[in-house]
Amino acid sequence: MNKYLSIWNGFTSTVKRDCLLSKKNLTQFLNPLLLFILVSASFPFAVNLNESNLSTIGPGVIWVIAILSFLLTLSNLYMHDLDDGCLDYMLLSPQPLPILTFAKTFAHWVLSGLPIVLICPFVAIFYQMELDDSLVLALTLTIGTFALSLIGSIGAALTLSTKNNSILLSLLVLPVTIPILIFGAKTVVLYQNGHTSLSGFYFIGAYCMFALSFSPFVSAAALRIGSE
Amino acid sequence: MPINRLKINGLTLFRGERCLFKNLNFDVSDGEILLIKGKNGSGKTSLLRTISGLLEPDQGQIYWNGIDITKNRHEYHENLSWLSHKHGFKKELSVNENLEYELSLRSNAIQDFDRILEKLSLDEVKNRPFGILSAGQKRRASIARMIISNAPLYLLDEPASNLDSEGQEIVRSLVIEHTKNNGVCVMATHQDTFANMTTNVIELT
Repeated sequence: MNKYLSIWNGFTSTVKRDCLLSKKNLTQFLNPLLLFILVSASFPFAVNLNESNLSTIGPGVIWVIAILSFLLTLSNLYMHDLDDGCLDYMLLSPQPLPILTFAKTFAHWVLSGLPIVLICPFVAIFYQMELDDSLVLALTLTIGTFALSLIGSIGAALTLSTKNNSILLSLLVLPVTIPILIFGAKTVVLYQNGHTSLSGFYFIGAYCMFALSFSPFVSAAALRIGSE
Repeated sequence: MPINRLKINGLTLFRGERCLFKNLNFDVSDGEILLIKGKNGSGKTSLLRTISGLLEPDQGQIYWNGIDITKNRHEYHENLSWLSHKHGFKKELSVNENLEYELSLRSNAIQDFDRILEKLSLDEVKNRPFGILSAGQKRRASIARMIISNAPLYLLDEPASNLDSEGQEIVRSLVIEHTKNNGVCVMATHQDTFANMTTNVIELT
């Protein structure tokens, strides 16, 4: 029992610490979110589309911008820990490393994915989307961005030992995110057209669970190799 | 019969083409201090990192209390306290916040660390961000974490770097006190301060 309590403590304190770090370093937290808001909000002004066309392309555009702004945050997931030596202490911690990597991934989603999810119903107004459509969009983004955090964690750990890893990381992660992008955007469009959107939710849900089943373990193994 | 024992058996490590050490054998029991000496680049830090489990050796085994460390990594790390060149503290967080995080990861850590901070003259700066502390204060904070972890095995890489004579004396007395309490200590250092208190010496070439 004590062991599980200790693992839970390790998980929660890592999430809390990363959230506290983000609070003390607000620019790093706000930059991708601002990029998401500014690009999403300015896109409708740049294209000359009527109301119905705008609401049709809205989900896809918002999804693409969400993924791109989300990718910006991935390279920092473990890089700061490597620079300041915290990674060594993480590897030498008595806590299971997959739990700590999962805690860091979860914190990353809370700090980078969740703000996008919360802001997207407001951004959807620029695309003339109905409220219920934008809520479906927010729900797909909730599951989708969490899956992206899990996949991105593996990419960030694999590219840790390379300098200026952002481009390599994007090249690694972006192809894997395409199914989520397709099904995430398509789910909202299906809902908008009055069709059942459950199949889309099933797919991105299954994708997320699949990523959850191996991401912490693969990330932990990649971190061990990367730290050498 | 020693309570704590670190045994190194036929340890070999290559970095690229270069062999840092080959077929290294030694053991350190409780109450003993092993000093690793050698020129810059001779592999002292790599040896410590290998003993800690951060580096995989090309050959050889490391045993802690008779158990291969690869068989029970979590328990070994619970018994290990690591002090390296990099502090492993977040510069945005205070010393207190950093230490509380460390505390939450370990089940046998010392919960009340105020007296330790006082002993290391860190009580006045404990709520300041770690990033604005002096190099010596940062080193003292790392030493505070080492004590708080309450682990029987100390692996120390240049423990007295950036410390004034008072700080060096504190480290010296801490290591002596640790070994008196059945602790094991392996350190790599150039400082003569520690030369006369070590039990065994290994020189890497």
